[in-house]
Amino acid sequence: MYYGIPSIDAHPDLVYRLNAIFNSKLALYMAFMFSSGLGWDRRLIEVGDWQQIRLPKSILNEDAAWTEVLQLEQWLRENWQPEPSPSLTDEIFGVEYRLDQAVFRLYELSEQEKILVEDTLQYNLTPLIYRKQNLDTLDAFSEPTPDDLAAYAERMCLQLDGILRYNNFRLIPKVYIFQEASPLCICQFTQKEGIERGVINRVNIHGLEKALSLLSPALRMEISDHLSIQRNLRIYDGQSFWIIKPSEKRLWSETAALIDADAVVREHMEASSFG
Amino acid sequence: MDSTEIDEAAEITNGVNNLHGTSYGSPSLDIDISYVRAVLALFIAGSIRLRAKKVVYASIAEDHVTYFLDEEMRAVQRANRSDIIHWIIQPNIKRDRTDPLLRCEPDFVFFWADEETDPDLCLYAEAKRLFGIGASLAGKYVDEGVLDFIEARYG
Repeated sequence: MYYGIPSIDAHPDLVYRLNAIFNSKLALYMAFMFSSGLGWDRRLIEVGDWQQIRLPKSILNEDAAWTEVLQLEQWLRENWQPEPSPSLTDEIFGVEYRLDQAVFRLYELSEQEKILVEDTLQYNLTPLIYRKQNLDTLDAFSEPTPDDLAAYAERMCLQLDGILRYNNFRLIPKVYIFQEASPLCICQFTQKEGIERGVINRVNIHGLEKALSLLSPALRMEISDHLSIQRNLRIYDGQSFWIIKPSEKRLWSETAALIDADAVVREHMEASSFG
Repeated sequence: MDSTEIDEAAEITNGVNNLHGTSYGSPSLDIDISYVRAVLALFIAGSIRLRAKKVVYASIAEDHVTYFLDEEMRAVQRANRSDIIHWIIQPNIKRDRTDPLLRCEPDFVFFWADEETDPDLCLYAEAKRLFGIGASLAGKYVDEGVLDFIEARYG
């Protein structure tokens, strides 16, 4: 969807700038985070939600960064169609992606903040909006691909290597790939000394699916009547640790890796003399 | 699955009911000492950036040095591909439940727990101006500043 703002002719450049921001993923993220109802009880972004969207510091500046944003906004304004041809669909997706990245740069988001925005929309807002559908049909609840697990493992290593490298250690990640359907997925991380950066190992494994089927129900814990939580499991063993979680994409996103890395650090610090 | 594997699965299943409900075994990566080194590296990198900006001068207030250094350290971390070191500056920590006036404000608090409010699960760091206008503050820093740590005023 690409939408516009009815306005008078005064300050057209400012209106185009606002239009670029309001059509970006970042605006949707802010609307979702600031709104009390978007995604929960309505699919509408209210006027009050729009008014809460923060604008970049450079909104009134003659900044070179705006040149690209305005060009992309103009292209989308003139070419976006509700039912485009296949070739135009690809082009629209490409320009929308570039607009999102350009807006991220305007707000000076860090690598991790961009991940948080993208994953929140993909794995939180979208499932909320489409929650009345069968959960199995939603991407967030589908089984993660080996590439998803590799991206998760790489992000986990990047985070933890940010600490471990100061003691000349790095993590080597290992992603387990099962032949049969498994209720849980596994990633293993091993600390090694004196290496530059660990390559992600993908290991095909057979026969562990049954053990994981036994383990899976035990990770579910009832905390109240009709309310239970699905726990994630971290197993520490010497220089290695394993992350074991249900086979759902939303739990193996890069944002999940950021959260899990925090948990690993917390458990190490609490187990050490600092804790 | 053989009986050994079933036993191992049962052991893991039972073992998850520990403090956080989700971990099993003893965390034994070299994260703790590396964490302290990473924090020191962050301080050094932030200080180098701050020195290059030439905004710190002899009579500057100590708190202002803290603010400048905090900004530069955050810039360093944003440029890195890891943002796993979390910290806040100058939290107002209540030291005594019975005395509302008894408070302290450490310059930097590095925390790894979910809630930064637990004063026992943090690393504290003070930014001290040792030289400036007048006599060196180095002696006072040792006599008073370091004592704040030794006497666990921040804990």
